[in-house]
Formats: sequence, C-alpha cells, structure tokens
Amino acid sequence: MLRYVVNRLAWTIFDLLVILTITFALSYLLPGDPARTIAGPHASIQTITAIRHQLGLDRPLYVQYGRYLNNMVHLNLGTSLQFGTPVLQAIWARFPATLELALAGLIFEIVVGIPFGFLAALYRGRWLDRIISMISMVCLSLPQFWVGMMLLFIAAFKWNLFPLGGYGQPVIWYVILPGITLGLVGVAYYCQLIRARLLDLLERPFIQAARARGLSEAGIMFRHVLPNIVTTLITQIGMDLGYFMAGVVVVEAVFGWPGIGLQAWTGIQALDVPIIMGTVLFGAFWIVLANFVMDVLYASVDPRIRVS
Amino acid sequence: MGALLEVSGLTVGFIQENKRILSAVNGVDFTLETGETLGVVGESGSGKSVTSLAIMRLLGDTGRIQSGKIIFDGLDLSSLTTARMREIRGKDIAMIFQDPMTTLNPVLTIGQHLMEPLRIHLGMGKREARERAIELLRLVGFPRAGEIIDEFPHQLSGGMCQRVMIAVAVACNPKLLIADEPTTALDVTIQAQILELMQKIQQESNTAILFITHDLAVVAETCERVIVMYAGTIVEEAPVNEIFDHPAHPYTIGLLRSLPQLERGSRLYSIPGMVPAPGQVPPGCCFSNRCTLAIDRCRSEKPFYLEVGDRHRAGCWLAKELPKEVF
Repeated sequence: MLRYVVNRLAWTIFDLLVILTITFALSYLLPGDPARTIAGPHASIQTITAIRHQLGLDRPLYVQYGRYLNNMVHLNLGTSLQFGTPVLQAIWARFPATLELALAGLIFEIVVGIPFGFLAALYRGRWLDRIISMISMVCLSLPQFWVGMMLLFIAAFKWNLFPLGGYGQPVIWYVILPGITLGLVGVAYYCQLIRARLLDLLERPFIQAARARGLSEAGIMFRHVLPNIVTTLITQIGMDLGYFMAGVVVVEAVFGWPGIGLQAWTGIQALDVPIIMGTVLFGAFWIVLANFVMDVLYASVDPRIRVS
Repeated sequence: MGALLEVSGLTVGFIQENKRILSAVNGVDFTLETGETLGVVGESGSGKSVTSLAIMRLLGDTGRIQSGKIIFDGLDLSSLTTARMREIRGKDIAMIFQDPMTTLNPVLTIGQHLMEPLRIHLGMGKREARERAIELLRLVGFPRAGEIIDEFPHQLSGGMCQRVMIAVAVACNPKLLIADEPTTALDVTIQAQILELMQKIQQESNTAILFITHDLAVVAETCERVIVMYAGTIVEEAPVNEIFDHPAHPYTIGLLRSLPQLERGSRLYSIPGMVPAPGQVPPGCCFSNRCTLAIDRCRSEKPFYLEVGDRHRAGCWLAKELPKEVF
C-alpha cells in the first residue's frame, strides 16, 4: 500500500508540473500586454519598457520559465493587475465561500441522488423506477442559470424563505439555494450511476453465493454490495469536489456568491492575467489533489488496485 | 430409515413477461440417503440447476415451485418461511457453484468469507471464528492457512478459490452439499484434486452430496448413483455402474455415445436435434422428437418408469427391449 501511495504522489507532482508548464505557455497566447495594462492608456513607451523590464518580460523564455517555477514553489502567484494585491491573497480570501458552496452542492447531490438511485434499482422496472428516471432526465436537462433564477424568484422572492442571493450569516441559510442549483445535475447523475452499479452488482454470482450461505437481504446489502459501491462513489465524489473547487461561475454569478469563479470572470474581462492564471492554477491544484486522495481511498477499499 | 432428502413430484416454473408460467422442471422424484453421493447428469437446459435452486429455495423473483414436496430431514422445505430457510442455507444444506473466481466477493478477504457462516449460523465470536477458519483452510489443503486467510480472491488461482468455497460450504458441517458443476471451470489436474477433496470430506463427515454435472467422466469417478435429466424430467435413474454398463434410455445411450472415442478416424457422434426450450417440450415422451428408436406410442403417451434392474428405472416404453450392444 505504501508503495502505491508513493507512486501516486510522484505522479501527482508530475501532473502539477505539466499543468504549470501548460499554464505558463497559455499565458503567452492570451491577448493583452501586462506591462501596458499596468502602465495605463496614456503611458509613454519608456514607461512601458521600464515596467516590462521590471516584470522580467524582456528576458529569454527559459529564464522566464525558471523564474515562474521558482515563484510557484514559493507560492508567489503574482500581483493582480486590477487590485495591486497578491493574487494568492485575493484567491484565498474567496476560498471559504467557494468551499462552502462546493460542499453544499456535494452534500445535496449525495443525500438526494444516492437514495433515489437505490430505490430505482430495488424497484427496477416498476412505476417508482420510471418516475425517478423521468425526474432524473429533467434534472439533467435544466440549465443551471435558469434553475438558479427560478429558485431565487420563487423561493426567495415570492415565498420569502431564503435570502435573495448574496453571502451572509448564518451561511447555511444563504448557501441552500445556490447549493441546490449547483447539485441538481449531480443528483440525476448520482442517481443513474448508483442505479446502474447496483443492478450490475446484484446480478453477480457472489451475491447468489452469499444468499446460499443464508445471508438476509440486508446482510447482503451491507456486507457484500455496499463495499463494492463505495469505490464508485469515491471516484465520483472526488471528481465533483475537485471540479466544484475550481470555481463555478454560473451559479456564483446568478446568486452573487463571492467565490473564485466570479473573481476569475471579472479578471477575464479586465484582462487581469495574473488573476486568471492564478485561478486556473488554484483550480487545477484542487482537482489534482482530489484525484490523489481519491486514488488512495479507492486503494484502501479495493485491494485489487494496489497490485496493478 | 427415512432418506435425508426426498423430492416428490417437483414442478418448478418461471413467470414470463406475459405473466404465463413456463415449467423448467416437470414432476421430478428422487431420494438421497445420508452420506450418499448422487449424480445429476444432463445438458444445459435439462433442469438440473433449477432443481438444486428449488431445494435451496433460491429461485429468484420469477421462479415458483408449482407443485411437489421437498422433504429434507423431515422438514418440508417448500413450505418453510424465508427466515427459517435462511437458517438452513449454509448450515444444514450448503451449495458450491461453478465458477469460483466470481462466486467470491472481490473486496472481502478469504477469512471474511469463511467467518461469515461461522458467525451467522454458529454464533462464534471473532477470535474463535478466525481460528476455526484457519482450521478449515488446513482441512481443504492450504498449509499456509495463516497467510491465506488475509488474502483476497484475486490473489488465488481458480483451484484455490474452489477449495476456499468448499471450506466455506462445510464450515458448519452441513448434512447435504449441493455441488453445481464445481469442476467445470477448472482444468483437469485441478479437477482431480477438487474431487479428491470432496470425497475426503464426505468420508470424514458423512455429508451427502448432490453432484450436478454434464461430465459423465466425473460421475463415474465420484457418484454412487446417478439420475439423468432431460427437458425437466428424469429419464433414467441407476447405480453408477449400471448406467455405464446397461443404459436403458435412448437419451442416456446417446450421451454415452457422444463421449469422444480414442480410435483414430472416429467421428464424434452427436444426438440429432436440440434440447427443447421450456414450453416447447414435445407431447408424449419428452425425447420423442430426437429419438432414433421412437415408435408411435412414444409420441402420444408419456412413458412411466419401468424397472429394468436393481434400483434401476427408465422412463421409456422400450426400456426393456433396448439392444444390449449400443456401441
């Protein structure tokens, strides 16, 4: 197991290196000249050149790459062109809100999606299964911005049950609607995933063999089925968490949620390259980290993985 | 002395999509004595597996015992509650299945598999169950029992997995062991080991074995008596030597002729036609449409069993007149 963890860790670091390199290359493809943006519209050529020299933009590529990597290791993501503050600080300030929204979405997906998936599988072919499938289809098809706006309009505006967007205390009251909006598609997805996996597992010979040993249906579910489903869940939850942590612009925009997604969006519009790149890296880091944790958890549950 | 297992008039069907019921097993009768090994021979679709599932009451949502009785050790299994049946499964009657690699749960250790029936049926504590599990592994031929117990199924070979399955099955000392094609998925040398193991266990604990297989060679090796099934019916029943020396049903004869001969240039014989699907069994004798010796009576009247020897019966109108030399 230790070998496996070390192996995964090595690959994770390699992944991060690749991502850093690609991001670095991308920043050269983006329109806009950071020196010019900082200097302002009326600056002289000398000022712009001076700023360019200050930023090290006139050095050869490999030197810039080296400095870039060095910065990364020291967690220096640069300075925002809009605010003049360190990028990492700006992103980190929005991190709690992003995490809260991500968790809310994830919890909603799991708590609603999984039980429905179980029901659909256990009542396969009957009317309950059909209804659940239909509702899943609808959830999968609804656009997030529409769902968000509808929830705001009906639950917040008309019924006054929730605040009309924004962020405040107690957080839980503010996070419910955006969490539902974020997780709705996931509910359908988890539901279908669990249903399919469960149906596949219930057909397996070892389930029949367990029945032949005198296990009750509940015993079979807990001892034999669940351990095999956990691996599927770990994979999916890990991916979702990583993805949510990278920023979810649409939901943040609709609800005015102060997450990193919205910040990146304004950064894009202002061509604030450091902020854009910083957010990309931040999101990528979370996804890579989530993958690593997921791999380790998966291996701890499914012994077959440790060997390959 | 009453037999350990008495199956009489067993008819098992499955409910189809159109709500009608199709019978896979039709009026099967046989008995099994304590400590005896009875072979059940037949092709796929003969109803042999369904019979064993019916005994275990594991027919699934669509299976039904339409009629008949299954008396095990004095109890009528067909009328027991599910809860009571669960007490019997794994404890008094155990079953081993065909493919050992897929009948073990990949995320559970060998030890967890073994301890399951011990803890559920015998109420053993964890430590006691673990010790007993190691004993069982030694019994089935694992000298490294203490290590194997913590390994996972994918770390073992097919033969080893089947030995584990046997260990799990005999954990609670069942009176009856149903073996549904236990060696079909294994290669021949391993097959021999498994059969040897089963015989050893039977001798030591006097377990009765219901051995389901399509392999006549295995039957010759291990069984005392044999029943031959075709299209859900028993067509012949005899002690094992009788079946090979004096088969009395055209189907049995056909099966024996189908065994590959070692002479150079001999062509493989196969019984013409195909096994009928449930619901498409011909009227009269179920084998009449494929039988080379069929007469008119066979096609219109279902034959009853004729005694052709000591404990030897066959369901064929011509059972007593069959030519002695069939090869």
